[in-house]
Amino acid sequence: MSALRRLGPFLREGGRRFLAGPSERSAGYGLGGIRHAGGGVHIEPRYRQYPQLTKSQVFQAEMLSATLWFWILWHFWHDSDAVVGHFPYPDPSQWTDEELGIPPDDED
Amino acid sequence: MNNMLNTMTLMSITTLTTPLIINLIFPHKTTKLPMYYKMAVKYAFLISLPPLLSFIHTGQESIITNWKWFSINSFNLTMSFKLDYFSIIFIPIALYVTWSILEFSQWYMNSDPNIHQFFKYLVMFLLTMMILITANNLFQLFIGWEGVGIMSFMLIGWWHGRSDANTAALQAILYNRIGDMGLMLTMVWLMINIGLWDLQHIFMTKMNTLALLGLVIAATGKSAQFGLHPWLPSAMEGPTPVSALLHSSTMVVAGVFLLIRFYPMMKDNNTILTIILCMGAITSLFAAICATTQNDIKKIVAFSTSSQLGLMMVTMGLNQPHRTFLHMCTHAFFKATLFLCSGSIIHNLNNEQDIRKMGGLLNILPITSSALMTSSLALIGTPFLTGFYSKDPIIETMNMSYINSWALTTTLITTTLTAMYSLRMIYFTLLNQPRFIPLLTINENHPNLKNPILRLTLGSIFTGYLLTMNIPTTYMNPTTMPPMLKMSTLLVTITGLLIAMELNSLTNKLAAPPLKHAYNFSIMQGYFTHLLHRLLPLASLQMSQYIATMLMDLNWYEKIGPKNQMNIHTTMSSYISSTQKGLIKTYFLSFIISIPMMMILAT
Amino acid sequence: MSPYMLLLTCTSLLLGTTLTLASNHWLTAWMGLEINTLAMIPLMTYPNHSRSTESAIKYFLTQATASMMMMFAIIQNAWATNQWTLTQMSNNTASILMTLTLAIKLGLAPFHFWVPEVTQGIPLLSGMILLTWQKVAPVSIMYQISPSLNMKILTTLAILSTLTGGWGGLNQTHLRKILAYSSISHMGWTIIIMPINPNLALLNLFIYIIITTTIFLTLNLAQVTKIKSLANLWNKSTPMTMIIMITLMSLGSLPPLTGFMPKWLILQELVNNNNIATATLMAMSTLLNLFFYMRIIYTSTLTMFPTTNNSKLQWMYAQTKKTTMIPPLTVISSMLLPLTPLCLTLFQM
Repeated sequence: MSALRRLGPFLREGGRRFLAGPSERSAGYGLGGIRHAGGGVHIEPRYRQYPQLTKSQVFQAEMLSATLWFWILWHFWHDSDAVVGHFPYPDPSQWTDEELGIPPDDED
Repeated sequence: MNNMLNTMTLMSITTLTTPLIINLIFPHKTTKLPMYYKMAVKYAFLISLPPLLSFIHTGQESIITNWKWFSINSFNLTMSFKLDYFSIIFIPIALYVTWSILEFSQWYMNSDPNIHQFFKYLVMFLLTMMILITANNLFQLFIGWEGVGIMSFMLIGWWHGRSDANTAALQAILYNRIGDMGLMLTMVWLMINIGLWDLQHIFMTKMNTLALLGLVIAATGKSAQFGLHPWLPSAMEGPTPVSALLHSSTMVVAGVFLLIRFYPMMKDNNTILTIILCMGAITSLFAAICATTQNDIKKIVAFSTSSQLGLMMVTMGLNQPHRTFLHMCTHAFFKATLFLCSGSIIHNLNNEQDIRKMGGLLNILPITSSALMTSSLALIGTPFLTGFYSKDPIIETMNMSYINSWALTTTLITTTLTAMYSLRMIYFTLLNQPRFIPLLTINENHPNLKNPILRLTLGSIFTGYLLTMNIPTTYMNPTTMPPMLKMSTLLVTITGLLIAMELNSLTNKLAAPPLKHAYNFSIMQGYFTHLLHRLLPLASLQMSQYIATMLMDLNWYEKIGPKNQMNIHTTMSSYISSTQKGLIKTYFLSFIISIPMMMILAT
Repeated sequence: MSPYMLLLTCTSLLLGTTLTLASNHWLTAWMGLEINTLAMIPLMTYPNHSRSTESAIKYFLTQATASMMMMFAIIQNAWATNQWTLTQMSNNTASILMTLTLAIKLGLAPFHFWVPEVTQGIPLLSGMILLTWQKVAPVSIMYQISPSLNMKILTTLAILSTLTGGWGGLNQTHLRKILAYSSISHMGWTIIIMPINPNLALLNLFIYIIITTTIFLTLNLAQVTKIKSLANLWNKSTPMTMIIMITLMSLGSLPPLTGFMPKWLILQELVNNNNIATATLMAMSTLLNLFFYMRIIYTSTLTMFPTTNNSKLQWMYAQTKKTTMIPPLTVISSMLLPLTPLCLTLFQM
């Protein structure tokens, strides 16, 4: 039993890390139950100018938009009939009486 | 496979309860609880994926009945879960969205002293929604229904120090109560006329218009349809994660979901379908009009939710429950994203919600801006984004169906307006020069802020496609139409965009005085709250006052009651004592009069 | 009054009633009543002053009239039926007349006028005898002739009495008058049940006598005759306030107390005999009684009126009056309810 009991700390720590998930570990969040004011990268407050952005921030934003436009354009290229219709729609006014099987007016 | 479907779905629901139980056992160890809640939802989501995949693969539906609650004569109530198309698809979506929202809340509510309680409420909110979705009998559904109602009350009134939050919470619960009356009407009707609350049994019978009307009222209250809608914009008083959860995957879609559940009963009832259609169209248009001029960023998004709910109702009215459901699912993604983005903006601008005091955020919050753009585009139905896959078929189906053209026109106008208010929001928040105070500590690098937004944005790009790919075509009737009709959705949307741009430029140039009446109508939310929340209560309060003070207090409790008693008894009392004059002749007088009288009368 | 005279009077008082109780002949019954009345008069005038003399004269005149009418009724009965047996009051006119006569003797409305005025003028203990012992003889006659009594008249008299007792007492501040009105109302209760279940009437009278005796003895101890004077009772003898409260509540027939028992049984009997309206009226009119009892309780127990410091020093003077009878009577007049079956058996003679 004592040998098993020695596994306790491992289980506890492992379980905690498992529950904590990756993002909190990287942010130093949840370790020892200390709550920090913010998280992630610290950005200095600035006066009357745009704040400095981190590279990853810009990159992620650009990636997101790129994904969006790629998705839209790729689908337009391959799947444009979802927007503009599946096939040339026949124009009913062009149909002749013969095609429709309507007898001429002067038949009787 | 069947076992896995049942087991894992129930397991995913059960997983949600674990942090609640932890909190119950260790009520004071609250530091890590928010994280546990988040992880529980995350794992619940992961657990719910295999059943989803299995369902997509085999299309197998299932009903779990495991525990008999009680029985009254022949009326049995069992604990029963319905795992059909709707619940199996919606559970992972709700869990995914809620997972992101909870993670976001860890950032947004970081400074709240009761953050663990907030998380508990959110998870219970979700749990009741899951109960509602999986319920196979009306009793269980009612538990979920009421649970969603009460949890929304708790959450909207979270900042209960503010009177606005309190009134908003009260509004929510009161309007919902009107809806609950409808559900109870239906339940009682079913109990009396059919004697069953199990859905599969109900579907074998028929329900009349009255019972279905109860469902419509219930959905009107819960999904904030026109007439019972004012609570939805007011509910923006709650914390932003609450709004996100409330508007995406829980509360407001519960009403629509109820109608989806009961569509086999109402598909043949034209009266009900027409009512739903018209109500949805009005709601949709009204909310869109109101959204066009709102200045509060959350109010805009709230009205857009209302408008989209109207669209879902319209689809129900078209007798297309699967399209409704699809829109409900896709809407969950982009609406949650929109709310998280607005939450990010609001928090980063030190709780500034007015879009007139934003601007230029494109350079400051790039991730949020991208996400906001993407989700707005998804909302207005840009081709191949999530919204397109649900909205476009709805309008196409509408174009092709034999329903009244008024509803069609209304919906098309709404689509235009959707584009308008979305663009207006983007224009005012993201573009141009900043209009907020110059010193700001803006930072969107926190993973708890970034990740959920990114996840949900990806969801609002791809989900529509994925869902559409995996829905059996038997559920949807394919449409075919001329190109112009096919592109009508897109065209009205583009029209909306152009109008919005023109309007915005007009606003900036102050070229013409605004149309005062229309503008006032829109920004005052159709005067609805002013009329309904002032006049009706005034009338009823006045009547109550008359009844309470005049009729009851003054007349009944005072004049007729004690005062009257007092008068009678003092009169009689003084009359009797006035006969006591100490004169012996009164004695004998009484003898002389009484005795002969009684002798004559009695003999 | 010399002790011999007192002895003679008291003995006559007792023996007169006893004679009535014991007689089977109308003449002896009537004689007993007369002896009783005559013996009462010296007791009423015991501290001889004009008020008590006036009361005695009023009492004498009333009782004399009643006796005369009673004799008339007896003779009428004897004339019509040729017999003097007490229980055989079979002539209708004589029966009605006898009912009214007894009503005068008991002081039922509308013949109640003498009761408050006579009681008001005499000492407390004489008042006690007047309101308790003096009721025994007429009720016993009524009990014996109850099968031949006219029910309509009795019901009318009873309802009138309870109402008069209630309303009359509302306006009073004098304790003796209040008790007189309470007596009127209780006599109403006694005779409402007389034609239906005479045993209950006896029970009611018995319990009324006990409770009233307790109250009178308590009041006599403090020598108070006004509600206002009761406000000082607490420093004369604190337990007395409690006793007055409990006894008055019992008199007002509040449930866990003795007084509730006869009213409960009477109401039940009335309802069983389809007299629901009467029962309701009786019960409601008794609320008036309860109200003025409450007023006494309020003054004596629940509040402490502002008084001068001197008047708060009465507790240090030794009691001279005997309190021997008060505790057992209090116990009987408040705790008899659990013994209801016993009482019922006792009175099912």
